[in-house]
Amino acid sequence: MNDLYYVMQGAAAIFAALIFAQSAWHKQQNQQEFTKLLEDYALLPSRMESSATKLLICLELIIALLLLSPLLSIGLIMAALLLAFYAVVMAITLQRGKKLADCGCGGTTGEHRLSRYQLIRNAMMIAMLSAAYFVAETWQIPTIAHWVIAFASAMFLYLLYVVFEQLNQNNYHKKQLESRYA
Amino acid sequence: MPSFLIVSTVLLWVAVIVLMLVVFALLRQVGVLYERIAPAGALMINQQIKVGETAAEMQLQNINGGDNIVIGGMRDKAQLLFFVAPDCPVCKTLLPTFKSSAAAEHDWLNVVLASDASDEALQKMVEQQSLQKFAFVNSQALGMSYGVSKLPYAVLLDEKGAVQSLGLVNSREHLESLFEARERGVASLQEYMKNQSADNGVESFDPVGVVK
Repeated sequence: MNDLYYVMQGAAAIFAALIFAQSAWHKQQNQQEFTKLLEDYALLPSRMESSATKLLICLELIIALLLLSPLLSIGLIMAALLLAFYAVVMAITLQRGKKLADCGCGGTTGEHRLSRYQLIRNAMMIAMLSAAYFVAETWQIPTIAHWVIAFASAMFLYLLYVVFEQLNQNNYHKKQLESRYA
Repeated sequence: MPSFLIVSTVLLWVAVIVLMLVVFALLRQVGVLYERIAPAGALMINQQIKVGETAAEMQLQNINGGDNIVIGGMRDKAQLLFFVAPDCPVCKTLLPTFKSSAAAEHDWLNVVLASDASDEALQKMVEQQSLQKFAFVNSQALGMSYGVSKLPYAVLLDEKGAVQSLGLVNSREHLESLFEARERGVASLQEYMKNQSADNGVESFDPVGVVK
């Protein structure tokens, strides 16, 4: 297979590892808020919510590590499955009409209001991880130059991700202001 | 030629990453501006006590040691009661604001932290947040007498012990709105804005929506 595919797979894996590590760190730093968020989603019995928070933090950290380890393909599958699970939970919540619930995915940019944008974002990430899964079972990046490009691409993807998150948040604030002055 | 292409590619990557960082920084600034320009005022949700009313004077023990703290009653300076709890994350984020307001307004204002929690949890909070120099009382009765149902909550008492302004406080703007309300001689910024909008013929303007 063309080396470029390996580089793209590497970029996708490093990017996804960054996202999961950031998400785990964010949940760890704000455990109480995230547990309250799970209460808002109202999908679990109330006494399980605290354990679910800890379980999700562990799971996200394990996925981040797997994505950077030789067990890349397992990491990619688990990452896609967890994102799909999150998407289903958010879709159910949106269906119930809880549009204002925080989606729990805020990292550097803080709070995020749940909307269809998060579902589209998760679908795109699942597509990217699935494509990366079919490239190779483990890391095949041949040279240091290829590694540099993979890292730079991952950084680019990550920055693109936070820029869109920020845009989404700004859009929410803008709508809030507009509705207040309407 | 190949080395020229490599250098050129590296430079382009650096440019792309730097530009992305700049875009993010600009968007972040726009986000902060949106948050800042939102009209803010502490949300009055109180049914227990109204502005102008006087709650019973109370003497409570200061958990940081020293003399008992007198809440309400006649005094030299106005008194700000700031209700917090050790398990309230928003309270922790507002404590730096509370400290800076206490320092900035100290010539006319005494501040008192109030809570209703176990002594151990409060002592831990005092140590973690460096609150040793503030008057801090632990009393369920105090919260009940001022009808505190959500935190962080602030009550500003005037020199005669009457409630001058009060409300749920989620940001620096909300806290300062209590002082602003005092300066403008209104019960709350909601009242001020309502009067303003009545003057301007605007009926449905609500400045409080930022409080979640």
